[in-house]
Parts: sequence; structure tokens; C-alpha cells
Amino acid sequence: MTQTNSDTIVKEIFIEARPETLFSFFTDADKMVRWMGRQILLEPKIGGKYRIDVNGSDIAMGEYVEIVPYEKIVMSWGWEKSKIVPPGSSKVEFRLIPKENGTNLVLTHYDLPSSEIPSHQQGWSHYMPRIKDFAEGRDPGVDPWTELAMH
Amino acid sequence: MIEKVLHALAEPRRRDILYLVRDGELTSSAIASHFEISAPAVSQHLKVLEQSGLVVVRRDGTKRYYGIRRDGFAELKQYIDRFWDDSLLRLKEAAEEEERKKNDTNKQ
Repeated sequence: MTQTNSDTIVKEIFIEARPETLFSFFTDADKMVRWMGRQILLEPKIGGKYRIDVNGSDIAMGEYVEIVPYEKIVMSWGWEKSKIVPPGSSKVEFRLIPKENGTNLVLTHYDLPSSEIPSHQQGWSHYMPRIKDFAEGRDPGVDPWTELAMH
Repeated sequence: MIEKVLHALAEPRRRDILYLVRDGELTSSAIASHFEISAPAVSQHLKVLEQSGLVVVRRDGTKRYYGIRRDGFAELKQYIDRFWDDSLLRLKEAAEEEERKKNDTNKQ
């Protein structure tokens, strides 16, 4: 049994602007707000934090992880008050690839939560040996809890 | 919709419930037996999860079986997917406008 605990989104778009022009839209709050969110606070340096009010109720938060001028920006990403996608729990990478007459922008959003929820909470140690059994190819037998629920 | 999903996921006990029902349906009493909190409190968590679309209820006689709704997670991913689609289109417009402005200034 293989467990995947995360998901990825990849997007690509061609923009008729030089990487130098495009880059500032990731590091300048006045420019960023033209394409993302309603209100933006940011500190454009590695380890610097940002806060994006996406629609008046969802607040995206995280930090700049990597900044390579005109080439690449990596930001940790999550939502305020969300514990499964907390600020900084997933990662968004923007790559700027120069082309004739413009730039190819490739976005990759890593580590999104999927229905394969990892749990580190106390009390579920019951499942851990079972999952390990599955992973190691042993049949853990009928789950007594499941049986309990079925009758 | 997304607010409900994010809100539902924000509570550790609700994440524990999701983890419990991940591999199969359970009744509310079976779920409650794994928690020290009261049955009504568990019911309240189940209600929030159901409203968020992350959990689905099946009724069989007087029993209610709770199971994970994978579509709920797909919707979360779709929300993020749409968010990036919309944002990137706006970025394209804004950056191209900026580029045209720069070029016009250079020509003058």
C-alpha cells in the first residue's frame, strides 16, 4: 500500500513581457495586488513574510523561500487559521523562462493536502501498526473497529 | 465553500475524525467511542464536516454512517486550481500592460 500525502498543481502561461518586467510583480506589493488578492503586505527577501487577503475572507500567508532575480521565486504557502494547510505548509514555485517576445511562466504548487490525511494526533496509534503492516505486505486482518461499526 | 472546508479542517478533532473514517464508514457512536469529549460535541464536529463536504452521511434505518467524501478534497484542489488560473490571467494582463508602458516610454 503506497501512501501519498500530497498533491501538486502545475500551470504554464506565456506572457508578453520580459522577465525583468514580470519579476517585479512578485516582489512589489503594489504590483502584486494587481493580480492577486485585495490587500497585500510583503517583505521581499529570503525568510521575509507575506500576507495576501485573497477575497476578504481567505488570507494566504507564508514566507519567501527562494528569490533568484528575474528567474525564480519560491514561496511557502498556506491559509491563516487553517491547521491542515497552515501558513507555510505548502510551497509555490514560479519559474520565469525567457522566450522571444516574452516569458514563459511556470507555476508549481507543491504539498497540497489530499484525502490521504496524515495524522500525528495522539489516540490513533491503533492505525499506525495496521498501516505499517499494509506497507510491509502483511494482512492486518479485519479491523475490529470496522467490524464494530458494521454490526 | 472553501471557507467551510478550511474551517472544518482547522479543528484537530475534526482531522482525527477524518482520519478515522478514511478507510471506511463508521457510525457516530463508534466515532464518539474514540474520543473523551461528549457525544453531542462529536455530533457537532460531524455536522461541521458534513456541511464542509469532506464527510458524507449514509442513513440505514436509525443508524447514520459517516464516511470520507473524496470529492470534498478534490473541490479544495479545484478551488486552488481556479485561484491560480484567475490570478495568472490577471498577472498576464498587468505585466503586458506594464511592458507596453515601458516600451512606449523608450520610444519617446
